[in-house]
Amino acid sequence: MENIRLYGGFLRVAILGKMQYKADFLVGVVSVLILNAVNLSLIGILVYNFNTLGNWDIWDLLFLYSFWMLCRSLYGIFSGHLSDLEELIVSGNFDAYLIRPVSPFVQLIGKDINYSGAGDLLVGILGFILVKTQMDFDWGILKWLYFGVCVLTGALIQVAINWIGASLCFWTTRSRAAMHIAERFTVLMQQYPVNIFGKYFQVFVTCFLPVAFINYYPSVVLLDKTTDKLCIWQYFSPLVAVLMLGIAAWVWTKGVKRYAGAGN
Amino acid sequence: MRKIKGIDLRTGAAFMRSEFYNLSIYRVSFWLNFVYTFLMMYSVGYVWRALYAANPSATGVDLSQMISYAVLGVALESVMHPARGPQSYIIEQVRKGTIEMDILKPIDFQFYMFAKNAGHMAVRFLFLVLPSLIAAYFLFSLQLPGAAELLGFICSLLLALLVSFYLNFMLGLLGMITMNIQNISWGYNAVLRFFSGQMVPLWIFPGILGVVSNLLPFRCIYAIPMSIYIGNYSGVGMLGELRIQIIWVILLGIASRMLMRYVFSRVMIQGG
Amino acid sequence: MVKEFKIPVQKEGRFAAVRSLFSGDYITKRAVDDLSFSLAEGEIVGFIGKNGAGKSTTIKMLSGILQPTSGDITVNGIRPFEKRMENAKQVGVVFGQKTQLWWDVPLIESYRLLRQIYKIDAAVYEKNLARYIPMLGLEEVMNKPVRQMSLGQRVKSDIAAALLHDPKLLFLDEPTIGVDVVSKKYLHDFIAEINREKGTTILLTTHDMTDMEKLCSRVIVIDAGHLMYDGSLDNMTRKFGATRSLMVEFEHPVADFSVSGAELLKSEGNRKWYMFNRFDTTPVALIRSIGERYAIRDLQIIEPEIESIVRNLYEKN
Repeated sequence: MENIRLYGGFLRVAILGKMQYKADFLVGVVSVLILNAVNLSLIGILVYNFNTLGNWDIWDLLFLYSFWMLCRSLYGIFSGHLSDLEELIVSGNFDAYLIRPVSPFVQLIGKDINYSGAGDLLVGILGFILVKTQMDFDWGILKWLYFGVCVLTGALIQVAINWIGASLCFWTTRSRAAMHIAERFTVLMQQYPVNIFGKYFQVFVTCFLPVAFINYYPSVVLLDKTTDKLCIWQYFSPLVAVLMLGIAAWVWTKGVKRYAGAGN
Repeated sequence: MRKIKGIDLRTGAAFMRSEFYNLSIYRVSFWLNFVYTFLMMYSVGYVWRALYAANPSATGVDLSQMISYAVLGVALESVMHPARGPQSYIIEQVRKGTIEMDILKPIDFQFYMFAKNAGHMAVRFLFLVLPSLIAAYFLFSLQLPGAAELLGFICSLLLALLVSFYLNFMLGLLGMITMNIQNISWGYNAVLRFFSGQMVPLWIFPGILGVVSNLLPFRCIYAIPMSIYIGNYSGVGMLGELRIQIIWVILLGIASRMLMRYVFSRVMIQGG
Repeated sequence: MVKEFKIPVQKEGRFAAVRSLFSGDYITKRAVDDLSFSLAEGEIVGFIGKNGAGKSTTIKMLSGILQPTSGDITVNGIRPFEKRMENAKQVGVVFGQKTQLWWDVPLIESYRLLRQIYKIDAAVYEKNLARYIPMLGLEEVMNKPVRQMSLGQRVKSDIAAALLHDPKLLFLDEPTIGVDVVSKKYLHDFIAEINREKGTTILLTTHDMTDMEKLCSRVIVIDAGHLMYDGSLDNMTRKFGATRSLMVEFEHPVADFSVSGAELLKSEGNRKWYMFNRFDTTPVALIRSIGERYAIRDLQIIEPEIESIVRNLYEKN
C-alpha cells in the first residue's frame, strides 16, 4: 500500500518532468502510429497475395494484432522504460536508488511514463472495433470478462519478460541489446499465429519465452480456433502471468544483491 | 593525398580492432545476438512455408528462393539495422556534450563516422552473419547463387552499405539539432522496414505501394542485393539495378555533405 | 573491513579476442583493504586520499550501496547492508559528481517527493526548509529544474535534500569539487552550522585543503585501501604538510636573492616563489623582509595540496 502511494509520488514527478518536452510526445505518438501502420500493411500485403495464413484469415489476424496492441500499450505506458536500467547501472546513478528508503523497483518503474504507448492503445481499440463490426461475434459476459483479464495478464507477462531482461544487466552490465533482441523476436511472434511456426517453436514460446500466452492463446480461445485436440494450457494466461512476475521479482532481488556485492 | 589515405586506412583498421573488443567484452550480448539471428531465420522461414501452403504461386518465385530471400533479409538486418548506424554514436556524444571534440578532430567528420561504422559492420559481418548464413545453408537449404549472381550480390551489398550509411548519417546530423532522435528513429525504422523489402519482397506490393517503393532509396539497402542473390535479375537487369544504387549513392553522398555543412554551421553558432 | 572487486582484463596472445568470446579473465582488486575506523557522535571528519584510494567505496559501504567482502560495519547500531532501508533513514548521502535530485522538475518538487519518501513530518519539513533555504541562498532556484542550475547551486540543493529528514550522519563525497568560491563559502558555513545545531556526524571526502581547515578537526587518510593516518588535522599538517610557499610579484624585475627562513623555488619574469616551513616563520615576517628591499605588486600564499601531504605520509611511513 505504502509502495503504491510512493509510486504515485514518483509518477507525479515523472509527468511534471515530461511536460517540458511536448514536441517529443507528438513525434512519439506519430512514430508509433507509423510503426503500426507498417506492421499491419505488411500482414495485409501478405494476406492480399495469399488469402490466408494457416487457418487464420485477415480479420482473425487483425484480432490477434489488436489484442497484442492493447496488452502492449498497457505494458509500454507504465513500464516501457525498464530497459533504462542498463544506463542507470553504467552511469552509477543506480546508487541513488539504494540510498533511499524505498524499494528500488518502485523507483525504477516510477521514474518515467511513456505517452507514446497511447499510439498503440489507439491502434488496439480501433482495430478491435473494426474486427467486431466485421466478424460480429456474440460474446457472453464471461467471454468479455475473460477478454479483459487476458489483456491485463498479457501486459503483465510482457512486463515480467522485460523485467527479467533488464535485471540481466546486474550480471552482464549490458542488457539493452538482449532486450532489444527479445523485443524484436516477440514482435514477429505476436503478429502471426504461433501454430504456423511448427511444433518446436510452439513449445519454445509456450514454455521458455511464454509470449504465446500474451495474445495467441487468449485469441485461440476467444475466436474458437481450437482445431486440434483441446489443450488445457490455452486458458493458462493468468497463471503464467503470476508465475512470470514471481520469477522476475526473484531475479531482480538476486540482481540487486549482486550489484551490492560486486559493485562497479 | 596518398599519405592522408594511408593514415586513414590505418585509422580504419584501428577502429575495427576496437569494435572487435567491444563485441567480445559483452560476451552474453554476442551470443544472444547469435541465437536471435538464428531464431529469426527459422521463424521467417516458417511464415513463408505457411503462406506457400495456401497459395504456392502467389509470388512468382518458388518456396526455396523465397526462403533464401527471407533468411538473407534477417542476416543482413543484423548488420544494417539502423540501431547499428553512426547515429547512435552521434546522439550519445551530443547528449554528453562532447560532439564538438569529434567535429574538431583533424579528420573529416563524415569519414571518421564511416570508418568507425565500417569497423563495426565488418566485425559483425564476420562473426555474426557469416556463421549464421553457413548454418542456414545446412539447416534451411539456403540457395547458393551462381558466379555472376554472387559477384553482382557482393557489389550490390557494398553499395547497399553506403546507402544505409548515408541515410543513418543524415539522421545523426538531424539529431545534432533536435538533440533527441529516439522517436524519429522509430518512424524511420518502420518506413525502412516497409519500403526496403527486408521482410516482404517489394514485387508483391499492390498498385501504388509498389510504385512508391520504387521511387524511394530504401530498396537499395535490402531488396536489390537480396533479389540479385536469389537470381531475380538476369545480366542487363542486374546492371540496371546496380546503376540505380550508384545513382542513389551519389545523390545521398552529396545531400549528406550539404546537410553536414548546414548542421555544423548551426551547431557551431549555438556553441558560440 | 575489506572490499574486493573483480575486474575483467583483456586476454593476451594469439586470437585473444576470439578466445574472449568464450570466457573471461578477471583479476581481483582490493579497493578497501583492512580498513578500520570509528566516528564519534557529532564529529566532522575529513576523509582524504588520492583518486582511487577507496574513499567512495568506503562511503558506498557505509550507506548500504555496497556490501563489504569481509569485515563488519555498523552505522549507529545498524549494519547498513543488512538493513539498507533502516540505515537510509538515518543517513544522508551526497555525491558531488552526481545529483540525486530529479533532473527535469523544479527543485521544490524534488523536495516534496523526498518528504513523501522519508515520511517527514509536515512541521519538521517546513521548519527545515525555512532554515536551509536562506542559509544556502536557494531562494531563487526553488522553482528551477536542476538541469538549469549551476554546479554550485546544484550541490547546495543536494545537500539540503540530504538533510531534510534530519539524518544522524551525513556522508559528503567530494561536495566542493568544481564549485565556485561563493558557493563553497555557503557550503562551509552551512555544514559547520548544521553540525553545531543538530549534532550531525559528518564524514567528508575532499581534495580541497580549505574544506579541511574550515570544517574538520580530525582527518583520516587512506591510500590504496589502507589506513595511512587517523588523527587531528593540526598534527597532520604539522608533520606532513608544514611547507607552504609564497609567490611574490615585484614592480620591477629583480635579481634572485635569498631570504632567511625561506628557500627560493623558482623565478619567472617579475615573480618569485619561496618555500617556507609554517612553524619556522610566518608569511608576514617574510613579506616584511622582502618588502624592505623591493617594491611588491602582488602576493599569494600557496597551501600544500592534499596530494603532497599524502605523498609525504607515504614516504615517512
